[in-house]
Amino acid sequence: MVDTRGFSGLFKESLHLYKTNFKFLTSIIFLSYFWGVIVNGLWKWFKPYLLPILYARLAYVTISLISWFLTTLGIVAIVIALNNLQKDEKKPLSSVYTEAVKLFFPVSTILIIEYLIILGGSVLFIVPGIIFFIWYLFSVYTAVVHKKRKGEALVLSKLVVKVSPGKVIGYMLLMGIISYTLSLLFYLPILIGVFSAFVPYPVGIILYGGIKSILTVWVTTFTLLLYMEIIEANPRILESI
Amino acid sequence: MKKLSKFEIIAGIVGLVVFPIVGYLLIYSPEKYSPFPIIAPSRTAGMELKKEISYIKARGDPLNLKDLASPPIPKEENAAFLYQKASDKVGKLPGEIEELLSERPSNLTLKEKIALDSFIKENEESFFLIEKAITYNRCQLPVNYEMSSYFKLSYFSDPPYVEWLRTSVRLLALKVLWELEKHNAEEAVNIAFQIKKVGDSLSNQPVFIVQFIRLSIYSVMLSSLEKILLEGDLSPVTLKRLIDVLASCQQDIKEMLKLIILGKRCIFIEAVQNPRNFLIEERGLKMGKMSYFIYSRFIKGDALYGLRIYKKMISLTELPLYEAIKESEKLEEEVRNDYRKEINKLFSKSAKISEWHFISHMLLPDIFGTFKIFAEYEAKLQEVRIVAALKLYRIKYGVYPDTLDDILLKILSPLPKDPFTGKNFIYKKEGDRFLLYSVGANLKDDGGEPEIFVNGVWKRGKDDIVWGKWDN
Repeated sequence: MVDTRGFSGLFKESLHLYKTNFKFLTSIIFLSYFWGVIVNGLWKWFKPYLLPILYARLAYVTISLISWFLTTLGIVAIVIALNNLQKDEKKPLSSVYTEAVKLFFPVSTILIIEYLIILGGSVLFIVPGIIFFIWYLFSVYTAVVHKKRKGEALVLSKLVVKVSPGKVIGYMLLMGIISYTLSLLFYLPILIGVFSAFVPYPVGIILYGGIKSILTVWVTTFTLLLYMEIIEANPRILESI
Repeated sequence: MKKLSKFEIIAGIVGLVVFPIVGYLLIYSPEKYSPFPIIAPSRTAGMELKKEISYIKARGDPLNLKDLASPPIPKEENAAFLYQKASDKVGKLPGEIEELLSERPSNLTLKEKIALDSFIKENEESFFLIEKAITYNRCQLPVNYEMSSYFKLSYFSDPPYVEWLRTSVRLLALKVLWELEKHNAEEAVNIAFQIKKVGDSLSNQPVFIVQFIRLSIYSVMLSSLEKILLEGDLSPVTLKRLIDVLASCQQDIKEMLKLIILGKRCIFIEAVQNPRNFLIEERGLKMGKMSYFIYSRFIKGDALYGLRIYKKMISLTELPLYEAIKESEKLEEEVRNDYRKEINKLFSKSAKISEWHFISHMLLPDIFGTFKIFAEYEAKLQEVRIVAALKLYRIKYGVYPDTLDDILLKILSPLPKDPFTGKNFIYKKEGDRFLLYSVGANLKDDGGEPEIFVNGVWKRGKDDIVWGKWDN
């Protein structure tokens, strides 16, 4: 039986892991995820002015895809790097990204299926959508850590959540609240009040992208640790797939 | 091996169906479904604008300021330069002489008489030049048809050629006074008709500013004739001639009105074609690149909107003035309401902005008052004709008629109507005196009280257009 660390244990460990590998993890996230956020933010800035133009719609689709590609690649790379660190292997940036690019399409497929199911669930009276969203919280981790593909990844994620749904929901909600509050603390002075008048929009976007990137690494670390803990405590889940 | 449950698969299929629909709604119809304020100008405006422009071309109407320019007249046949010479020779009119023109008719003092007499004699050469110019019958003013200079001149300051004509016409008006002082009313009428000829010589100039100059020249003629009729005794032949000559002036009104609106439409088309230049150079407003980028997508809709209003205004020139005034007031109200709506939309965050007639709302208000200006002019013109007819009636029958209908059959037919109402002018007789007036723009009978100009402000309320009060 694996010892469960509780929320504070996971929290401290994720913080420790991030602290000790801060430079490495930050450089990974800033290579792609950060730019995805920036592209998306800049697009939002122009969106109201550009949308009525036909070509702008094409640009909207293209930019949305680019942004999605960059953010997904960043998340996959971070999960790969964290997984390696868990195994005490510190591979260089290039090899992390090579692996991430290889995994991009399988992960994208998983995310698309996941998104469609969540959308369908939301259309069918909202609640199923929320349930699916919670079930598939770990879909990316199953794809990266246990090399699951398509439906398998989703099923594994669902099984992992189903082991202790209360714990997963509680921990993730708490982590969500903490990271959101932290991001607000940094971002609020820019968002409202006197300061917003002095900060040009692009600067605000860059700052927002930076803060979001750093917090994403931390939340991803926490989620991975939670996922690993549940898997280690219940190794039979893997056998059932 | 475990697979996705049936419910998950169903949800996935539903998602697959819903996704393209949501995508379509958000991307292709953002003006309806997007939560952001969306600017979505009309997509058909471009096509409609092309049709409108081709319609204007097919009618042979001018499209821009250069189209307005009439074929050049040789310098030897152009009266404009003689007016320039005459005006330059006189220079600025002395203050005491200028006062004679601004006052209502009253007996001149001895000092004034001497000053007027010496002024007329000093400037004989100028009078000679003006008389020579009048024989040319054609006057082409050196109007600059470049958009910026044309605009600056017509809105911010008078072009120099306005001064040439103003001085020349004022000289003639002074000569009318001079002849009246010499009890030579018949000659004074001839000089007043010379003023009319100065205005007539501008008839081939299809530029709206020139047409306004022409209108003011005719107004000077009318006020001169008013003085003559009030102070001088005219023979029946001259009175008859006066009635007939002024009848032709009436026909010019429609021509002038149409030319003015056509000219203003050309200005509008130029402004719409180059809005940034128009705003920066002509109105001193700077439009940022981003604002211009946004506004440029409304420009076709704006042009179309303005052209439709101008088209309606041009069609109104065919109507009698009192109907045209009513219709133009309705149009003005419509444009004002549109302006209010658009402003409200621009300042409310959630609105979907689909129309923004920025330049139309800057330029259109200029034209709505045009009919009233012309109605005032026509009222004065018809009053002069009626008074001439009344004087003729008195010569024939010894008294003024009891009603205006009395002169209808015997002297003046058809009887001129009040351009503001389409009905008879108001005529009141008391002994050997009469009161004649038009009700004016407010359409109310204010008992013959005109608008008063006090301390540089027109006091609104009463606005009857009155012939010299209680003429006898």
